[in-house]
Amino acid sequence: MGSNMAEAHPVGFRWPMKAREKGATIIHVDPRFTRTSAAANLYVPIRPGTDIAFLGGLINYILAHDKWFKEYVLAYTNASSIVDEGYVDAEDGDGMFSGFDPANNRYDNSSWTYSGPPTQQKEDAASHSGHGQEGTSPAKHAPYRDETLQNPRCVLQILKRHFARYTPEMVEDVCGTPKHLLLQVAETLTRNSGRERTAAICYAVGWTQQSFGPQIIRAAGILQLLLGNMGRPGGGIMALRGHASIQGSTDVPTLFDLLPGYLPQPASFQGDDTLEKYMREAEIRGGYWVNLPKFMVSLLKAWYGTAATRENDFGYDWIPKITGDHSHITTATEMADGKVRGFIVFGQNPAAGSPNARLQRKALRELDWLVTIDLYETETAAFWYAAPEGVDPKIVKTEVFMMPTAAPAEKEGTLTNTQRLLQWHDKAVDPQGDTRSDLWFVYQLGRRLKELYKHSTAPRDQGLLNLTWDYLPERPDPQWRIADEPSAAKVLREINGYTVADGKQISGFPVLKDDGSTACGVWIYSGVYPDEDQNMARRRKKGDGWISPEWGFAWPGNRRMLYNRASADPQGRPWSERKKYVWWDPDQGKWTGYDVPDFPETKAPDTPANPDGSGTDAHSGSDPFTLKADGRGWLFAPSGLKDGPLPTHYEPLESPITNPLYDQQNNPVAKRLARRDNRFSPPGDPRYPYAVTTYRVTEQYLSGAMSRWNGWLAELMPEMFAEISPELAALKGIRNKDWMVVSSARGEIECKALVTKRMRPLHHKDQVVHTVGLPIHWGYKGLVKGAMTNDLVALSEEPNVYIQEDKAFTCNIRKGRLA
Amino acid sequence: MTELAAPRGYYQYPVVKRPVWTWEVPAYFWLGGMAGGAYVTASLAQAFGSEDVRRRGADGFYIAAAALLPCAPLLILDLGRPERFHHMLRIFKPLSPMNLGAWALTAFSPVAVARAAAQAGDDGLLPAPVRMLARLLPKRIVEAGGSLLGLTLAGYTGVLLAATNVPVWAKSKLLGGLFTASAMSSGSAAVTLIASRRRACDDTIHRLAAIESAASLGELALLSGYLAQSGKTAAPLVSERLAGPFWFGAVGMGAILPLLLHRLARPRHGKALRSLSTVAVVCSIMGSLALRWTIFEAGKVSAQDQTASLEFSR
Amino acid sequence: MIDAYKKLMNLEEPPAPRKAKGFFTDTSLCIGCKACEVACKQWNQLPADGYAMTGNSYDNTGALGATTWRHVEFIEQAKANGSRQEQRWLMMSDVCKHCANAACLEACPTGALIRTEFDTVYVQQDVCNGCGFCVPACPFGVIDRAPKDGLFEAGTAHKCTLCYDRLKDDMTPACAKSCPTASIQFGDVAELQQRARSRLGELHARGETTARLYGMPESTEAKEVGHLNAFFLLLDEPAAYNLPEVPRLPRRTMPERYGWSAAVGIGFAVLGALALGRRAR
Ligand SMILES: Nc1nc2c(c(=O)[nH]1)N[C@H]1C(S)=C(S)[C@@H](COP(=O)(O)OP(=O)(O)OC[C@H]3O[C@@H](n4cnc5c(=O)[nH]c(N)nc54)[C@H](O)[C@@H]3O)O[C@H]1N2
Ligand SMILES: Nc1nc2c(c(=O)[nH]1)N[C@H]1C(S)=C(S)[C@@H](COP(=O)(O)OP(=O)(O)OC[C@H]3O[C@@H](n4cnc5c(=O)[nH]c(N)nc54)[C@H](O)[C@@H]3O)O[C@H]1N2
Ligand code: SF4
Ligand code: SF4
Ligand code: SF4
Ligand code: SF4
Ligand code: SF4
Ligand SMILES: [Mo]
Repeated sequence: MGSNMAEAHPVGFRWPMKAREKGATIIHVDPRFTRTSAAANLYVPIRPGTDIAFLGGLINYILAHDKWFKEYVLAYTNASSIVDEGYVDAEDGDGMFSGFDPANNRYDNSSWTYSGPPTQQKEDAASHSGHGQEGTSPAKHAPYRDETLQNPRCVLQILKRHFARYTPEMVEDVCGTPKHLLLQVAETLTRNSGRERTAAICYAVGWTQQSFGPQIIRAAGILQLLLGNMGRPGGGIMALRGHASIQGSTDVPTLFDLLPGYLPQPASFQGDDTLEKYMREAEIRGGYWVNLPKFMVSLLKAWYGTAATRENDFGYDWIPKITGDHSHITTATEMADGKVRGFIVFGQNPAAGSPNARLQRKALRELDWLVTIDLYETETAAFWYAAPEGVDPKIVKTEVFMMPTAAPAEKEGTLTNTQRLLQWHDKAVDPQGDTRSDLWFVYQLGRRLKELYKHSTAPRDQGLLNLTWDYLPERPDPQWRIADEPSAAKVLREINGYTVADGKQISGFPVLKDDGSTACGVWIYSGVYPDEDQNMARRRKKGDGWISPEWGFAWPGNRRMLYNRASADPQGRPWSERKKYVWWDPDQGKWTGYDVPDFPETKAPDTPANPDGSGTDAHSGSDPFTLKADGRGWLFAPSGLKDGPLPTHYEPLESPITNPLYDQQNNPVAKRLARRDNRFSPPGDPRYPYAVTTYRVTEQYLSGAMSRWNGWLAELMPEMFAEISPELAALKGIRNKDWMVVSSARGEIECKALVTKRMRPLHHKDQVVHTVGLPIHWGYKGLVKGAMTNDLVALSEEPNVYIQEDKAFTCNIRKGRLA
Repeated sequence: MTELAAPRGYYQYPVVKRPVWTWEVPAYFWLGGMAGGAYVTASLAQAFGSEDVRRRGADGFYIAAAALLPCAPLLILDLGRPERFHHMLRIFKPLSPMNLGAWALTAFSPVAVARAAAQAGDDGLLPAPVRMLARLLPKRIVEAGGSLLGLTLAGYTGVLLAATNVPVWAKSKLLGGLFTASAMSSGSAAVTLIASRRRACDDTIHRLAAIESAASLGELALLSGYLAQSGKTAAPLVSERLAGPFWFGAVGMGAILPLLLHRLARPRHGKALRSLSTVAVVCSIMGSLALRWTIFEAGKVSAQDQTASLEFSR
Repeated sequence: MIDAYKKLMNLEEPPAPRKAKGFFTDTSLCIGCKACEVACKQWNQLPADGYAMTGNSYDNTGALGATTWRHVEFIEQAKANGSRQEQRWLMMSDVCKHCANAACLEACPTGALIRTEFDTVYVQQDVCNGCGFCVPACPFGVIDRAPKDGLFEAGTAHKCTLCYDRLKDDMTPACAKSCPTASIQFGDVAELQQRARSRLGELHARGETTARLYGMPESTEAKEVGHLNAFFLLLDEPAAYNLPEVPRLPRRTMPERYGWSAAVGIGFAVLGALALGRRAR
């Protein structure tokens, strides 16, 4: 669901294919009948932007028919936990949860928390924004529970009430998905739940690129917890990551609101002005996160080395504090308003790949300088003379620097894949001429800046000056012409961490300390380089089992599956022989199995929770979800999300229909960046009557920079096209291969029509909704050129992860070409 | 899944590839055929004919040699890699008509030229010493052998086209025969032409006309057989762009008209006879060019015809 | 027969025959990713064929040709009316069949087309003189002559080599190597045929009643051209994939055709003799 795996992850899709051949049922839920649908056993059509309703329908079916995995749910989820009296569900608030603050358009989620014995600190739940954040109020460390699940305020009862209206009929009205198909999916899933069987869910940006993406994934989480599919082989929710190492770039990360290893970025507006205050996060989060101070101090030691001392809070003050939303989306608008002077682009092509590309290009024109570091001359690099809106190079003030960069085969390093697996790749050839790796560029930039500021006494520059910055190899590898390349291995060693005293590599994050005696660049990666010359990511031993623990290195601590304690029953025995994975060995008195147990190794299944213990001590021997404060899987999320503890169906920010479930049309806390050059059309706007979604095809890659310069790929999908159903085509008098114009509130583009029965109109009560499908791969450079779908897409922000809504908006179409 | 059945065939794409050959090929087929026909006619004349028939028939040797001269160049011109023409003779592979033809042409050309030279000798067109040499040529053997080669050259072209998967060429088994017949008619026609210009006695002209008519009749018969066997597949030939040149050129001008004219000329003598048969034979010569050209072109159309191919392979 | 002549013309001795190699292309496993097409072009350094959309589903390649030796077909099928639950999208990666009796090879006048030690059919680029006879001879429309004015091996005939160069080094052909779903299976033909038979059994057992094999020794396609070293598992009738039901082998009808022209020749000679030899009136 929400992924076109066969087309976007063809090599990974070999595994679902193998499973299918072994008798597994593949279900594909997608607005379009794609190459994945063709390979699936069951194809289920859905209107773009309605996944929560669909998943809600499944959840409701499971609860209504009492098909949930009792033993698992009772022991491993927070089904029995009692929620605060103050909590008002969206069902009773007509789409709004309790705690909404209209003035700031945000929720105060303190009423979403568990009720339990009060503890000393009170803390705003949404203490930290962004990825992986877990902030919440302390009561939940030991919530009241009702194991009989009768209490009307226990999570399961709330869940039942919340999804009660998500009936097959309602799902049909909202999603346009024929009722019988929903039931077929529900029956397949419940049939494959229990001790013996599991089901897995794969998603990608078909889910994430919506104004409530994380809530869709939450809904999947609820579904999988109810079916007992988390932490078990053949179960789980697989995020199919995109770019080769996009997983790595969230781990390390490249995101404005995170430090390496999902530590929150200090934020002035959260009162993180001192290290001590920042460290409160540890107690707030609880669970394994109580170790946060060790991770943070070790990070500071890795960055600032000897300059980081207990006296100066290990240099905490040198870390820039975020003052607000500095996401790519918001920054683009500020750039367009001339508030940003310079822009360095590493391997990105916003002029074609980012939402509202027209605005993106306008933003580039407002810059003083732009640096693109890329393999090709991208649309971004060429905006100043080649942009379709017609630009006069003479009046573009931006000074553009174009740097050639080494391709992956021309440099060494690691890639982190979907499965959190780090795989090292060696350099195969020298890059041509003066081309250098990205690492070289960053290293040189740092070195030269340090040089430039070396006499500065300004406090703001001390961070830069104190940065440890020695990444050149002891002696360059003689086999290469280029001798001044920094050593990626050195970087990876710092990421792994070492003991400060003797500079020895550490074995993993469990040995990290908060006294400054250890340094570690990315705590979750620790263990990847446990010895001077032991690069675990370089391992290539194919195991005999189906885990291959000695192939590469999976974080954390080479665990191939997170929360795998749940693969055993509460007593620590495998749920079944078939589904054996990790279990308690009473004789050795420890957890063993095929994988590294994701649990305190010697903590017996019958260990009782210690109510006033901190961190995982507060968990019992049967609480598998160790990162959670209460050690349980969250059916109801008392914290961590800014837009509600339970997924609720809202319409996309632009929709051809009004929300059939609530008067509240959209996610109330999603951010529209509405402005003259980023307009939105109202629900059911007759000017833009059709739903539109955007996506990839196997033959091309993203903005096309990497594929449209390659004749072998370009010839396979040479022209920009729109996929429309024969019904819509007939309505508009468009024939296959005709030119057609697609328009949205943001702009117009022209392309060829591909009329296909793989697209279909969907029926919602009395209303028929047509969907237009647009691939995203074209631009104005390369061997083949074409219109940019992103000229139609709006800049908008989902509240938790700031992602744009690429997957569902509205458009109109007509036969012909742009005037 | 019958209810899901796609339209037979994959979109509009042809099943087989369109021949890559160009105009040189039909031109070569035509000349080669005529050369063969002329040589055979001439040889027959030598073997069985009266004094006058022999003298006039012998002009066929000149025609054969002359018609053969452009053949090799045409053939080479059409190759993708002309400089590698000789690779044709790298192996001997009668299984491949193209290979057989190459050999036939290579063998026939010198024979025909030699025989023409000998004729030139007899006709006193050569200086004394060379004439002596030419006299040494064992005429009968050369004529017999040459005729075989000539027939091969005249006949293989049709088989070559037929030995493909182009429906309009391959469906019927008669294309080889048809081409042979038309070669003979054009060849004998060429001989007749010269004869009627070169004061042959009426009787000779009548006899030559007779065999040419025989060939034309055979051509007509085989053509109807060919069309019958081809059935729908012959559409590009009989009912599309090429219909005109085919019916009027190949059939009308090439066979029917000459037959009628010769029939008219039968009782006549002297001038009338000559002018009539001249027209007749010119028609028949042009007609055989039209026949080869239209059938050749029809092949290109037919190869593009998906349904024809799918039918042909059922 | 051909071999006899080769000896006669004492051409170089072919290498000793090895196990027959080929492809079993199981279209029920194809996801239409076209990795095979790209891998083939990349390995063989074939040029791109131009940049135009065909409008025929996702197939912008169209057909096999001189510079396209793998071609993935996309066949969209759906119930004409109403809900399209009955819908499928067939994908099939087409290639030279390396026929047991190869029309192209038999047609070739220069011996450029040979049967390799792996029982595959191969064009010797240094021998081919571009006569173009193999082109219309192939019943599958596979082989083609590169344009005389083109940049790529101008004027000679081209088709899948079954990666002869890789086979010589015991490497898997590029297309098969790149296929993520094992839709293209490379190996010893005999073994592949066995695998294909059992695979067909599985699919039928699973209710995939439309599945059928194409190019097996026992199937009708083999009537004239023999079994195909590159054979297929299809999910619809061959015609749907533009595959001939009974691919024709010209050789089969050759004697009859030669016979007719000989007969005509002789007939003419006899008539000629009579006509010319008649006593003068
Ligand atoms: N060949 C190729 N592979 C790629 C890429 C590429 O550009 N080319 N890009 C890579 C990157 S960066 C990424 S992030 C991944 C993305 O991988 P995917 O997310 O699989 O790719 P998309 O095509 O964006 O979207 C997947 C499907 O979501 C469907 N969809 C649209 N709206 C909705 C909706 O509201 N609900 C549901 N359920 N489905 C919807 C679309 O029809 C599409 O079929 O692919 C990676 N792999
Ligand atoms: N409408 C719509 N828009 C979308 C999406 C959608 O589904 N719909 N998908 C979104 C998604 S998921 C993504 S990930 C983005 C991607 O958007 P972009 O990242 O802007 O697009 P890419 O074409 O992947 O740009 C990557 C660039 O990196 C360069 N490159 C490759 N390797 C290297 C390297 O080693 N070093 C350097 N310096 N450069 C390198 C490539 O040449 C290319 O120019 O697009 C987003 N845009
Ligand atoms: S392009 Fe690379 S990452 Fe994408 S599917 Fe192919 S192999 Fe995997
Ligand atoms: S498929 Fe065509 S080209 Fe390939 S071997 Fe058979 S006849 Fe030759
Ligand atoms: S074109 Fe080349 S390969 Fe084809 S038949 Fe002629 S010589 Fe042989
Ligand atoms: S075997 Fe080699 S030449 Fe033939 S299609 Fe595959 S990759 Fe191309
Ligand atoms: S590589 Fe395999 S799966 Fe992809 S198109 Fe080719 S045959 Fe199909
Ligand atoms: Mo992505």
